[in-house]
Amino acid sequence: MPKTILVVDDSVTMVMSLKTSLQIAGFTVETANDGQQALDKLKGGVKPDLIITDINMPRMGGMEFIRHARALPGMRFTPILALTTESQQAKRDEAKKLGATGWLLKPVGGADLVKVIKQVLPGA
Amino acid sequence: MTALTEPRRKLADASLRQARALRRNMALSTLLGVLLLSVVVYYTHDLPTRLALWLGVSEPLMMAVFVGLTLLGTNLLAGLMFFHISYRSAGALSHTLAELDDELIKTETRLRVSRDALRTSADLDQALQDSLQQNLQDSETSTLGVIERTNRLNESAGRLLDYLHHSSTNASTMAVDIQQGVEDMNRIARFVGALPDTIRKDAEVIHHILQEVKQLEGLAASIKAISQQTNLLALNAAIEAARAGESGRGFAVVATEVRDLANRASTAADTIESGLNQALEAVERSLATSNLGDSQHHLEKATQVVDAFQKLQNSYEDMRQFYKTLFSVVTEHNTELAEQIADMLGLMQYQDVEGQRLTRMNDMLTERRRLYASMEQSATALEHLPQALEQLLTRYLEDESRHSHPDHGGLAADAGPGPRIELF
Repeated sequence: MPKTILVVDDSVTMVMSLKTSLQIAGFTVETANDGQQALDKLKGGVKPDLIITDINMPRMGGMEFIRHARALPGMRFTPILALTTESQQAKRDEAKKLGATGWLLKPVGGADLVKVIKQVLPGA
Repeated sequence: MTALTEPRRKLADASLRQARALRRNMALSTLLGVLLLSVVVYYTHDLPTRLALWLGVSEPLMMAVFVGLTLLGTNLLAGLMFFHISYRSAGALSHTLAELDDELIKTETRLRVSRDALRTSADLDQALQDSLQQNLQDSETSTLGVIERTNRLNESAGRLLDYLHHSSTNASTMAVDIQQGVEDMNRIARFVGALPDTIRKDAEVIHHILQEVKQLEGLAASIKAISQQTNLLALNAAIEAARAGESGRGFAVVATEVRDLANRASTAADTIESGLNQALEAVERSLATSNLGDSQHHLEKATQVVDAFQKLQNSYEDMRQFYKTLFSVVTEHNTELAEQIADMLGLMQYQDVEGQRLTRMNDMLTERRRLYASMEQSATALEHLPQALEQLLTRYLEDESRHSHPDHGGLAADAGPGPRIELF
């Protein structure tokens, strides 16, 4: 059974490149264009094994999404990786405090991404 | 120091000079008048008295008129001098004001040009923003096109691998079928090889049987002879029974039955003989047509077919090995291709990084246009423009420094204070 990954980013090129890259690596991929849409999907029954989210997004940003997602039932231990261009330590600390599993700076190569995913998602 | 300082200074100096000249001339003319009056009174002390008598007026009145006229003359002189000086000062003042007007016109022109420049700069910013937006859309479209083509490439590589895998499986199945066929052919060849001996042995057995069957021909002749003899005996018995009369009647019946049996035995013997002859002819004909040389030929043909099948099996084995090697090589290449595609897709993220940078630039240009537009509405706002622009620049640079800057030589990026990948 392939693992499911939810990709959240307002950039259509990011969503498509990540989706294709992850599908080649054998994952099933769900996508959302902002935090609100991702949250609606989680509430609607999508149960990802891992979430990759951008930070700066319209409607609902990554930080707020992480906070809301962690409050949902069954989402407490789901790995959440932030993939962003934000490099400030303060932002990293805030994400860590909200329950993010890791912080990745764009761009991240396909091999590196899969390596990180396998680290945080045993059995992937 | 502004361009208006010099005309203003000249104007102030001219006014000051005029005031000083007035003060100086007034003092001088008064002094001269008093001196003149004093001299006249000193040398002609009875002049006012005589003039009063001559004019028929009182002496004090004459004295007052005399002093008044003197002062009037003095003031007239002073006025004439003041007019002269004022005239010159007014000329200088007019010249200075003309210069001031020129400077004001120039300043106004400069202000208008500055506003035009700001308006043009705002238009330029708008054009830059449109261009940035277009570039962003173009890069997004082309990146999506590359991603789609990359996806298709990966799917094609996957299909090729599936096809090769399928072909390899088919080749294996075919090789097993061919192996089975060759084994069957070997069994047939062994059977065909043993066939001449079998036929020879069968022929010998048939010959032996034929000999025995031919012996049966004699037996049939014997049966026929016996039946003839029996017939004769039965005939004689019937004659003797007839001679015996009534007592020989039963015996005559037996004799008749015996003759009948003898005839039937004779007929059976004929049938047997005829059947045996036909069977013998058929077997001999069959033996005569069987040709062991042809069997040898067929055997060689069968052996050749087996050899051909063996070669075919070897060829298929080679082909299967080729397919296995091809499958292995293509799988390796496909894995490498998948890794390259994944890295290439990672590079596509540059579009988003660059897109965000262009968006920040776009936001800065929008803010700058807004500042330029506010200059149009307020003259005093122009004084605050440098400060506002400086603040805008500071904000832009700070915002830029908060984001990673990729190194386009590879996937490494300037991560700022933290690592590029950090797991908490």
